[in-house]
Amino acid sequence: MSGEYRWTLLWERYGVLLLLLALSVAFALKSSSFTSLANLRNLLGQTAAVAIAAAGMTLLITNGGFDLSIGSILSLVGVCLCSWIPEWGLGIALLLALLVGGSCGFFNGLLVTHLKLPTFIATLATMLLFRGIALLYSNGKDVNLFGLPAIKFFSSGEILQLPVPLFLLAGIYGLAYLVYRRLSLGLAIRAAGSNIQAAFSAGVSLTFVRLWVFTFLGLTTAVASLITTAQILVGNGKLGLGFELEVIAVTLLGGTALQGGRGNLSGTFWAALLLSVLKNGLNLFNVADYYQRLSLGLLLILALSIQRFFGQRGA
Amino acid sequence: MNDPVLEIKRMTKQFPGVLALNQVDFKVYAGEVHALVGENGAGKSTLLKILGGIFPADSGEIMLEGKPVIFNAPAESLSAGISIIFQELDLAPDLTIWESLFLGREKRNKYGFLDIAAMRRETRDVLKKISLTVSPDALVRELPLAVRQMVEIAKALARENRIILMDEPTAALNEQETKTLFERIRQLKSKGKAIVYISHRLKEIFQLADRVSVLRDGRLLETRRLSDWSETEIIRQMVGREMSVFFERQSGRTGATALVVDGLSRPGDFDNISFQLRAGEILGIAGLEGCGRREVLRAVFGLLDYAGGTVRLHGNLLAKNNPAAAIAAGMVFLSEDRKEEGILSIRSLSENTTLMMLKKLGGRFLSFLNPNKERRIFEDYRRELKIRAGGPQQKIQQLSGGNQQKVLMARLLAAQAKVLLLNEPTRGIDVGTKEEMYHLFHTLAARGLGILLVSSDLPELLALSDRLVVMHNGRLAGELADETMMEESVMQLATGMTR
Repeated sequence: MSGEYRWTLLWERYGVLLLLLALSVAFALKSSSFTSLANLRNLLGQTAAVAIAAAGMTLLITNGGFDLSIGSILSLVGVCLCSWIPEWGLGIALLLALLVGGSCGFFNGLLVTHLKLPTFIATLATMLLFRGIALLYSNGKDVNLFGLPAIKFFSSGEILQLPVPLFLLAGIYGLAYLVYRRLSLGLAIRAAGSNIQAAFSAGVSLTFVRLWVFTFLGLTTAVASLITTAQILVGNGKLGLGFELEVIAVTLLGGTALQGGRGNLSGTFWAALLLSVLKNGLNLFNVADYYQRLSLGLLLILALSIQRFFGQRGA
Repeated sequence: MNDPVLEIKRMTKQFPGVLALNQVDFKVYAGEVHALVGENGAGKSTLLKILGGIFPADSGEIMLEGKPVIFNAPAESLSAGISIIFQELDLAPDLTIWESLFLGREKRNKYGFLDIAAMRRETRDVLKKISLTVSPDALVRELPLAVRQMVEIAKALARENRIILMDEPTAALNEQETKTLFERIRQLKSKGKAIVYISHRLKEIFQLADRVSVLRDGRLLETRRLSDWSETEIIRQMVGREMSVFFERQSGRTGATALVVDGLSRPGDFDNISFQLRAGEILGIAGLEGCGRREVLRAVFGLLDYAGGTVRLHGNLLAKNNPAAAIAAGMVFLSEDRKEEGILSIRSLSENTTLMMLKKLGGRFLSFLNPNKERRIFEDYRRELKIRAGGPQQKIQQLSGGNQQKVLMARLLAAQAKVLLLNEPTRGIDVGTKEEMYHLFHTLAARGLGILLVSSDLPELLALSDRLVVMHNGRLAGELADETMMEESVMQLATGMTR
């Protein structure tokens, strides 16, 4: 029994990494351009936005919540950035944009902790609300950033010959890991997700913790939006449709349990990378977009059912 | 003696329909083990939860070393120096042992990060003290139940609070572990800690306690030194309430054997349970909270898996985990949790009534329902059971608890079953409806139905049952019938005083 339990743990921890390696090797053998420097950079850029938001989502799901509104937050923050950079300059616009992202997350948290709305309903509502605001603020049109290339630093800039998104990724994941493993806050996040009653009677402030994780997710989503905006140099109210689902999918694929208590940050990162490798590889072979979505769906079913299969026999 | 460390004055707590605590006065001194005993529902858990800051009392005072205190949250009670080991385990399964021990009061280094090394070291020390050989890094979910219980105890010990309250701490422990726990409790006592020990097991109380208080129906009857109590006296105080049952059942004639349960076992819940139920008989299962009778009933019906043993209905073996098969074979079940497992709260009375007989109403899933027929069926039972309701279209959630229960009884009867498994059928309903229910059970038994009855209301169980089996700690402690069916003899078996 414990042997099988160990298999479950191994699969939970390294299963996604295994799939990632297998897929990468397969693509590299089939196409030399897969391992070209340009393509690897491209890969990183694609991964960064989803992976960064997924770090926040991992903490939130571990705490026993989840968030459907982050696609709308991504779009809203993008519109804000593109409108405010020409007016106030990059620095101030950046800070304000982060503030917008954080506030959106905080607002979600308030709905859940103070109005006691179920997470699903609260974030479904704000998904519509935030997107509505983004559309209103942009008049439903594209807000272009053509004349102002400074923001490109966040997508294609370099520090010490390493791409900037890499630093953002490392920073966010480092911070998330620190919280998760090294701070009391992280222990409280995991405890509340695992058994809310036990956390409450141990004196954990459930409200503070829930507000914090929602806000953190809002902030990471704002950073994701920054990278995306720097890539496409345009903001509009239709960006990020389905972003939230991709981020949730990646988080679950990485081994974080939907019922809370068990998060896996490195798993989330590998799963985000797996997702972009899959997309990227299929692009290289000119496979149509439909198949990409289809294969992501199959991947989710495959990975999670293997986990469930081992989990049920091991438990 | 000195002044009490903890004193409760005239504490009262009212729940809908129940006065859980009624003007309770209670004192605990440093360096003593104060045992608190009482039947199910006597108010022990309510008292504990108020002291733990889970919910407030309606009136009354808590005094800590002479100063009045109010606990609005568990954190406040903990930091005031009160640790509680609750009966339902209060652990997060995804945390390690050291994380569980330090949750809510983490040790940090000077940079504000968790001082993991220190916490693991301390955890190892505490575990050693209670002779528990598991790694501080083990996840709670991987631990067997008994070890989890010990971790719960370790959690309270690690806090080094001066008042420790324990609710049935030995429920999942074996003899050796219990001994270790008692040694620890004696050590804590000699260090001047105050310990409140709640248990159904009188044997343990006579080994451990300095003073014993008896709670009954929300009132604290008496506190005495252990040497001034005898076992029989404690038992008499626990049960000796006025009989609220006016109903005296005459044993009818019973028929052929209907239900045979043989050697039913489920590790951790119940072990080797065997009994038979005849047609026309009411068989009661008595026992204290957590003795496993609730689980036995659920297992017999197929709501809970079991490792060994068989259930036969009218001679035919019943499949495990298959309530549908049980219903088809003529056995139905009434849950003790009316709201969560009984009523379809926003559906109509007639829909609630016919839920178990849908197949009989019209084949499989792909057949049309017949609302008129459903209504007629409901109206029939409304007359028979005197259900007070507007009409068949009324939503069941609008009825009183007693009338909801009657609709659920109608549902069982509409399924044309031969054997009824009733779990707490009169919980939370008014006296008048109770009376009607008693007569109904009597009539049903006279009609030849077999009834297996679980109830926490001992006088009710005694008045209704033809025979009683008593469970203690997951096993059958004995069987009582006729003149041996007395409250005292039931309690002796249920508390494990005799074997």
